[in-house]
Amino acid sequence: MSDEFDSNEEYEFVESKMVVMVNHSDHDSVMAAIVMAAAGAATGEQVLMFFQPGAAKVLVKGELEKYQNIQGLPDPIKLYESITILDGRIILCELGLPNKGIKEEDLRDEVEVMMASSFLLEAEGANAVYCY
Amino acid sequence: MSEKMVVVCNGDEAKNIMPALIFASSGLALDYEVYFFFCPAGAKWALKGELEKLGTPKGLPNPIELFDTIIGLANKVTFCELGLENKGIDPKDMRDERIVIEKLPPFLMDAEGATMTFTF
Repeated sequence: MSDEFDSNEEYEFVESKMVVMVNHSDHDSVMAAIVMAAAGAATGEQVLMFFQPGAAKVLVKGELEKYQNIQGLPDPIKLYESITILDGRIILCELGLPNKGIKEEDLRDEVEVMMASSFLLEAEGANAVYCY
Repeated sequence: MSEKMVVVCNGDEAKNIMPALIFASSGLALDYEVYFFFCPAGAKWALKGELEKLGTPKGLPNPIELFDTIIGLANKVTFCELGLENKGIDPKDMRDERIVIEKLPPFLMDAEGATMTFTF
């Protein structure tokens, strides 16, 4: 019968993409973005976080630590680590480096630097886009 | 047929309009059908003389050049009609006559099926 499970049939696992844009460096925006990204990664989404120049400084070593210990919110460092462990990608808009006077070597180790147009190609096919 | 991209500007700071313009122009470069929408909060960027006040921000492209590219090549640049009364704007103050002033529903109908939506 055609509706029975066929053990010989090959099934392709298609991972869905989730884009989280971050454009502000205030606590509310950054924490909301990182919580949403971690939740997406935990539920099997391929997470792409894209930081605009407005939020570029968040990715400088030592900056995310300043968002710790906010009442009632999870530790952003643990969330960040869980995103990267689950193959989430942390991407900074290339324009954020000159615009904010940031050196690439000062960024957290996992951060990729990319032009917006390259990022759009990476994000193609995303099922959900969240902007903060 | 190329895919649709929606870019929404919803704030009156440089960090709202600059990424919106950059994403819209990048989308055009990648052959997306781009639909750009000014919410009332971002209304001022559709007015004459406002983008000029930004100059060319350090390390970023010139916003006027980006806007001119977008207004020329985007499928539609829409100004939310609610922004007129909300911000006390006269339609003749729009920076370009190709900016369409309309309500949200027709914009949403145009944008239906968009695969990318970015709000700044």
